Amino acid sequence: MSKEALVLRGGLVYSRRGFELSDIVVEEGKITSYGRDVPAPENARVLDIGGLCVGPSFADLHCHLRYPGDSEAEDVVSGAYAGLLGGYGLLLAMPNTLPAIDRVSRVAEVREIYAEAPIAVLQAACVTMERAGERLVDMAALAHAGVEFFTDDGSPVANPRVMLEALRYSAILGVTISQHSEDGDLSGNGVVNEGVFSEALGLPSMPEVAESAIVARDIELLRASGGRLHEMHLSARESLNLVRAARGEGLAVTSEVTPHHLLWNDSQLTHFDTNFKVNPPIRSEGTRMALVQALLGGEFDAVATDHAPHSGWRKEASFREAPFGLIGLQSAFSATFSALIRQSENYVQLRGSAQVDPFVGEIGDFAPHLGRLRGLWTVFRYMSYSPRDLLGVPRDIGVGTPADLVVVDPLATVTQSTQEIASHAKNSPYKGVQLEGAVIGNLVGGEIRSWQGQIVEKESF
Amino acid sequence: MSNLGSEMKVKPGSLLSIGDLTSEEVVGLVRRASELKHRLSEPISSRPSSWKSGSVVALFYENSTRTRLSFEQAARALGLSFSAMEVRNSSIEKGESLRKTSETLSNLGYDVVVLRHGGEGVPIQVDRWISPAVVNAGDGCREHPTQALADAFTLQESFGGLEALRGKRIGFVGDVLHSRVARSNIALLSSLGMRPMVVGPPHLMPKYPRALGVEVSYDLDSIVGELDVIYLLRLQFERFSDPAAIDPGSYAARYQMNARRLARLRKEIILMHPGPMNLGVEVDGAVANSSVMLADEQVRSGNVMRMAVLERALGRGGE
Repeated sequence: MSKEALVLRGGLVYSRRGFELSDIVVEEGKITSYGRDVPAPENARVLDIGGLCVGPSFADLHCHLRYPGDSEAEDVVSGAYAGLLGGYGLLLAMPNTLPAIDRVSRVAEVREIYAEAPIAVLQAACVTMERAGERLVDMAALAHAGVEFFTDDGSPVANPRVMLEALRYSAILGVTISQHSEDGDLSGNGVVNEGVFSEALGLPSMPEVAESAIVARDIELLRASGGRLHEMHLSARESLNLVRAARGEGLAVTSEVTPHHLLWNDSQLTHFDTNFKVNPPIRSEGTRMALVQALLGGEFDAVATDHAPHSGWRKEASFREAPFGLIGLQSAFSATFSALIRQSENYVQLRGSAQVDPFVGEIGDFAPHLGRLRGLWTVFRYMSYSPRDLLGVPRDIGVGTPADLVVVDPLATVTQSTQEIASHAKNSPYKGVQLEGAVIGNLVGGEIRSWQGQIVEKESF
Repeated sequence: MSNLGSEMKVKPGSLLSIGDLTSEEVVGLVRRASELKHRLSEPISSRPSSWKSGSVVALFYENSTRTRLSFEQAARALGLSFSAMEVRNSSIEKGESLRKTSETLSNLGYDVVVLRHGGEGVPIQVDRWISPAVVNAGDGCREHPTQALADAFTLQESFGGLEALRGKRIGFVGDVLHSRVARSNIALLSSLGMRPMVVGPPHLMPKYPRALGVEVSYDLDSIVGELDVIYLLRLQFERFSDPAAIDPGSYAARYQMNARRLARLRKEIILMHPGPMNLGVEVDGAVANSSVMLADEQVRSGNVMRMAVLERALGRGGE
């Protein structure tokens, strides 16, 4: 932890209350002073961040770090570096590794590695042993060891009886079951979304109902169990209706959406770039717009990446044979921000999104960019505040709070190149694509750990 | 955000999809195939020597003796060298990757790679990876452009020119779901002014017909009288993966082109089939051998059209 005090001068700060121009003084890893024109402590480094925005660093409910088992695609350090550059301070690693994280001893093993990572990494555990879908893991022991999320992600918990038992345990233990909702019989051998593009291209496809049928089933199970259910990477319009209705009746169901489902539609398939092969698949333009609308309307609890590295040779196969998944930690902010502000610019009247301007103080030179500031408000809510709440580490910005901060430029554009990708695997659909908004810096425990796209070694900035 | 990402670029000479061709190129290919057809009837000694350079390799991940032989005949008639590489198992777990295999052929110095693969879009991927021109000889259920060009050639010979195709109705009967022949033909023949429709059992018909620009019927007998051309598709049992399993007997009862149905049609009706036929399923023996069935002509057209396509791949439009 840095002994040197740091002053972030002149940024637009996004706290839970809204956004306002404010300086931030960081000492001993915490914010010690906050407000306009606060005096800098003696010997403090002063960083002028006029024109930039600051909030709590992002938290990801859904990433695959591939440890243990596939170090060619990713390891904890490369994945955490991708997170650092993407503005993340907290990751939830998925347990579909080799071997799968289905017992306390394996959680303990990976935590030893995570302790060395440059950002905080939490571990989810499987719902069933070896993710085989048959026998529940020892949820009580894992919960006592601090595991709060259980998922067989990569595949669904298909057996409804197993799912019901898992939800009952979740009610007793106060933990969450995260479900990858997919009816395997309905998705069949599909590799892309069912629609006009799969039809024209002759590709085997999966319909939206392959997802929503399991969402509907699990909500029925949840009603019977009283547990906690988290819907991962929702991508079907009917899933949104089901979750909205379930929340309306007070069931404990939360949900996430990915940046790639917000940004892309299935017209991309005509390029046959296997980096767009992902499960659930990139949907139609109509569904994409509905997902953006739902995020603006507060229907999701989080934007989560589903960062899924696969080494190059695996993706250099036919669309049928290439594995599902794309990497997203480094691009999540710009992809999400782009999807939000482009939709806002195209559709001035946003149905269901109450446009109350969340500024609580002066915004100075930012005044001409209100559209972008509103978009950024949504980004901080669903990439930072809300997922941190779900992960049990709520944050705000104010005196006494830990200085885990991300600095972003809402007016910049970025175009990712392969060389900039920190992950071992390069299966990014964002390469060469111009996106709005850039992550400028990432502070971990008060120390600057990335700046302008470069990793900063400890104490060396 | 449909316009994010780079535009798809196809190498000049490559033929990956019917949509790669401008209408002028289609007309040019048909005209050239016609010239080549006459050339082939001349003595070998009178053929131009300029044809005799260039190498073609067929990279086939799916068995297809007929298509491979057709390309081989076309290449040899042009004086080109022809080699074939058949890969039994395309699974990346069991051998080198698709990319490595195609790069190897590129490094061996072939001018044209004729590619058949069970995976949709593979020719588009390979075309990005290697420098030789790529000719799609069938990719999964997506496209089979040389078959469609050959069929257009057959049709215009039969009707008396490309212009005569305008407004003619063609019905594709049977397994449209799994048919690359239907997808390429629908795209090409629509662009030539024909009015395509599809007929067959519901689960083998497109769920999104506007994606193909076709009307759908589930009842052959009710529409067969409106058609100028009936294109019979092979039931591709090997591709059936879902509840599309079908009883050949009940299929034949509703959709088979047989002597009984043929007797009710106009004398000028044209029947087509890309081969190989499942005799007794989509077509019976009498119809297969009838004079209105152009299947044999389709094979001959395939030969000259593939010559024209290989010339185009080598950057030679004519002599």
